[in-house]
Amino acid sequence: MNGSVADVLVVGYGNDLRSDDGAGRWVADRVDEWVERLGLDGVEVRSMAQLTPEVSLAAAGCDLVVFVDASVDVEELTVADVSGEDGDAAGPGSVMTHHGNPSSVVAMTASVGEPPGRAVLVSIPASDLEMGFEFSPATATAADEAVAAITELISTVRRDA
Amino acid sequence: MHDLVVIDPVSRIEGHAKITIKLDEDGMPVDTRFHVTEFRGFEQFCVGRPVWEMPSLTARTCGICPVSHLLASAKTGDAIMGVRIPANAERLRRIANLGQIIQSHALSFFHLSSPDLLLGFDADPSVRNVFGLMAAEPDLARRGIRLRGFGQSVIEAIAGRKVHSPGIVPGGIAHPMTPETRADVLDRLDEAHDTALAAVELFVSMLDQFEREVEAFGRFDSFYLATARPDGRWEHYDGHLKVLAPDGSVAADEVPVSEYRSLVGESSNVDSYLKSPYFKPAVSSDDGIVEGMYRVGPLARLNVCETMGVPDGDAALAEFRERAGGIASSSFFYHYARLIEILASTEYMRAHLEDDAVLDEMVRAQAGINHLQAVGSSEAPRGTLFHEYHVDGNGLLEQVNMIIATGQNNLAMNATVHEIAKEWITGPEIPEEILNRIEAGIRAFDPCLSCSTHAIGQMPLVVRLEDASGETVCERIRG
Repeated sequence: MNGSVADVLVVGYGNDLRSDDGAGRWVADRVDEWVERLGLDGVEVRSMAQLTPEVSLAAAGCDLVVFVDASVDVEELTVADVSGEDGDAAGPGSVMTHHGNPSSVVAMTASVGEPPGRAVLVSIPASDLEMGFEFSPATATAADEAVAAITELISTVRRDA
Repeated sequence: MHDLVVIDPVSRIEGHAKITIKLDEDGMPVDTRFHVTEFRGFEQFCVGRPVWEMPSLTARTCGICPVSHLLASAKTGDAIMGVRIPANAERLRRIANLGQIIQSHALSFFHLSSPDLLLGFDADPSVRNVFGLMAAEPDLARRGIRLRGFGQSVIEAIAGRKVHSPGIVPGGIAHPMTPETRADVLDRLDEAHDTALAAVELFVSMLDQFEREVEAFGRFDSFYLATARPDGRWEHYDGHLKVLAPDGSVAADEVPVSEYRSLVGESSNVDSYLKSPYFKPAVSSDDGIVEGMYRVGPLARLNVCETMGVPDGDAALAEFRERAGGIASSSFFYHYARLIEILASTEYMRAHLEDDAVLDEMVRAQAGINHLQAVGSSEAPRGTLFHEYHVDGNGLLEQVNMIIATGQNNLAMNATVHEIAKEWITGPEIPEEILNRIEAGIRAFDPCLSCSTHAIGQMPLVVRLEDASGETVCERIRG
């Protein structure tokens, strides 16, 4: 926390060798370009293959944490709040495997610092997870929408700080 | 009559997997298989791409051990170009791999296995996880997260955060280390070393509680394969291949990595995409590949080396060997070996960083395609990793083969689970404590199936009991 500008962490994750599964990372890269272009302080953007425990070190104390992932469980772009107290925190796909989920990362922030002020998961609809680099049309559209939604979230939290 | 106990898939490991335990007419285990059912097609996916892209591509197959693939791929690229990389490039690659070993082993111990060890194999699964650990041992959990964060930051300082333009490249390293990065890593090294030392002491203090597990996890013979160096010190980056027999005698030594195929045979399984490599000189027919079962990774590296080569690491190795009674054959000791490797890695890292040559700016050799085939390897946290590439005159890949550590441990994972099943299964029932230990037996190897199958997946636990006719007589689901 620097006291004047909101601290924001954006984490896009997925396997970008598996077509739509790479959408989270693609979005993170676009947001990173936007942050660099505007020279925004206090915004860190990470692009990762999978969520791991040490992300909680960067997430702790942030005003806003944005997780970005591709999902076969949604049909359109969704933005949902994430709590470290969700039942998912220790469930399948949690840090009990080699890869964690947003709930588990938020839960772990309590172990290393303060929980973030707000955490959200931006889910991008995915349908093609075969090996490749191209997004399916619906995923490509939603990925563009995700960039716009995340930049708006960052702008809002910075205005409110 | 044969019953089948099926645990499908195993929780807390990467990818989709299941375990099938075949029971005899008396309800006793007679055979055990570890299956991985994800599609394997990564090598074919790479064909036609430039060899220069391979470090970036292969590193993206796994978010846990990307540096291992970066190193093996870059080293294969070095050999394709026919270059000897600058001394400081090797030094920086070594530091990156030490960071990789620290962060990967920290995840394995602090987040995946210590809940079993500290909260008990028989604790309620709803609390026998890292959050239960955070509640019961908050300082240990915090230190584990920070240790992993340390290892990851070392990797990012050398290999870079952007995987599409990695810092480890054929010919060396893309960018030299800055004085600021060196100072930052050195500043945090004491805490990492202290955490590693405390973890070794903690594990040793717990070991006597697990006599039965130590015995049951290792009641089988295997060979041990690892990278070795002429002076006998522990090696994690480069050298020759060395294989120990189950009794500790040398089965093969001073074998160049380029001749790995003289040691390693590969058997494909009809019911699994996980190949089963075996020690070729010990196998006389396709039916007998179990005779060539070998283990790689921390346990093998500590068996193969003569010394760790650093003070605290050597003290820990001496106690490790005393407790193991010589060659450590119990897969339970993988945990112990991992912690000793973390400890030694912090010591080696300090030695590298305190050498002013670490700031040398000569870190990359440049060349074109000078060889059409090459093999590179690295010691990944889970064991020896081989990459073999065949390219055309333009450096486009014509053939790729990757032999992953988890695959090399496949036969030994079968054997470990089989021994656990024999120890605890006494009939058609599948009590919770048996499932816990079977899972723990697999987790001792810290398998990474996203590497070995190049996929990821979810891990609910399904336990199914089938009778001889194939009918399900019992099914349990966890997760």
